[in-house]
Amino acid sequence: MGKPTNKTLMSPKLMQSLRSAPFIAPFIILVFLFYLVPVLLTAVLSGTGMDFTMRFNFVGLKNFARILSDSVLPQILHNTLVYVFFTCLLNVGFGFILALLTTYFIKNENIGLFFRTLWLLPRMTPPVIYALLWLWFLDPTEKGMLNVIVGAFGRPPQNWILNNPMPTVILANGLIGVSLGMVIFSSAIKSIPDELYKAAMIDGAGDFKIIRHIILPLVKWPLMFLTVWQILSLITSYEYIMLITDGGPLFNSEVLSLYSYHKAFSNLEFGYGAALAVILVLIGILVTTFMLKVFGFDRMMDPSRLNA
Amino acid sequence: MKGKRSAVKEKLVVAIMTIITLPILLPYLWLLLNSLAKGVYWGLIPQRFTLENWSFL
Repeated sequence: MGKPTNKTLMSPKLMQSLRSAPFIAPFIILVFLFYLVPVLLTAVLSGTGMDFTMRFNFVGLKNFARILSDSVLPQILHNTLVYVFFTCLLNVGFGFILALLTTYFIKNENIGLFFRTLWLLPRMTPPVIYALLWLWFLDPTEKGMLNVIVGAFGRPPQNWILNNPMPTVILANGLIGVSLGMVIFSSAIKSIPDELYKAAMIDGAGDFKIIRHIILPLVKWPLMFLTVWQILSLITSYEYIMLITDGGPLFNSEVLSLYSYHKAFSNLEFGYGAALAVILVLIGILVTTFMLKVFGFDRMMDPSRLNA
Repeated sequence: MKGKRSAVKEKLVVAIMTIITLPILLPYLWLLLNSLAKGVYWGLIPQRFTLENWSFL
């Protein structure tokens, strides 16, 4: 009767988990503290009528009932849908076109890199400076940059932001997100072996057929990843909208995340703002689950099949 | 012949890229020129050169 060894007490799987615990624990703690705890606190706050008095007076589901009868919510949900759809389209679609132009069509690496660097400028710029650039670019006076350009063609100055609030925020946000798509697609296109292009050219394929039958199928996974990533980040992003239009005029460019922020920090209705944020979190979870099922993330995370 | 056609195509793509990059490039150029000028003519062309705005350095 010898002493029981580690081998008999613990299964190899448990041993492996214990060994990896110190490595993964810091990340679990970070996710718990900065992601899960805020969600739980928001959920608790949504059940209160907390206002500028900062008192936790529990009101049950009153805030959620108020959401259902909120007269501006249909317009805000519509704005959110339009904003997420078109910005994502711009981010992914235009990002792919830029990657294609700078990687596939421009063979000179330095020129391609030069344009890619220029398109990374909005990403490198602090959001406030970037928003100010848009405000100056679309300035309604005759000294505004766009008004100077249209003035050269004999057109009178326009108030671009006031007349087109949604296209403005879509364009401003889209041109930042485009750089992520461009970088991911560029690396995906560059990883396609040259032999495939050469074989296609020998078979008489033109550029369009090469893009359609070689490049597009091979960037399918980055394309799906980027779509999911952008949709999820756009649902919750509002900082550029806040800086450029602040959701206005009236509620014409107000999205759900900005509405939640305004309710909490402008109207000081923290309880109602938290309830709107809970709805936002639920929409995020639903969209994620839907995307995971539709796109098959397990297969997406598999090793590359390119060189298999 | 094919190489020449390919070079023309590349130049065309560079021209297209230049045009679609202008909306990004112009505001940054304007920002830089404004920091070096006392005023701008027609919203873009700097009027009088100055380093006053950089005096904080």
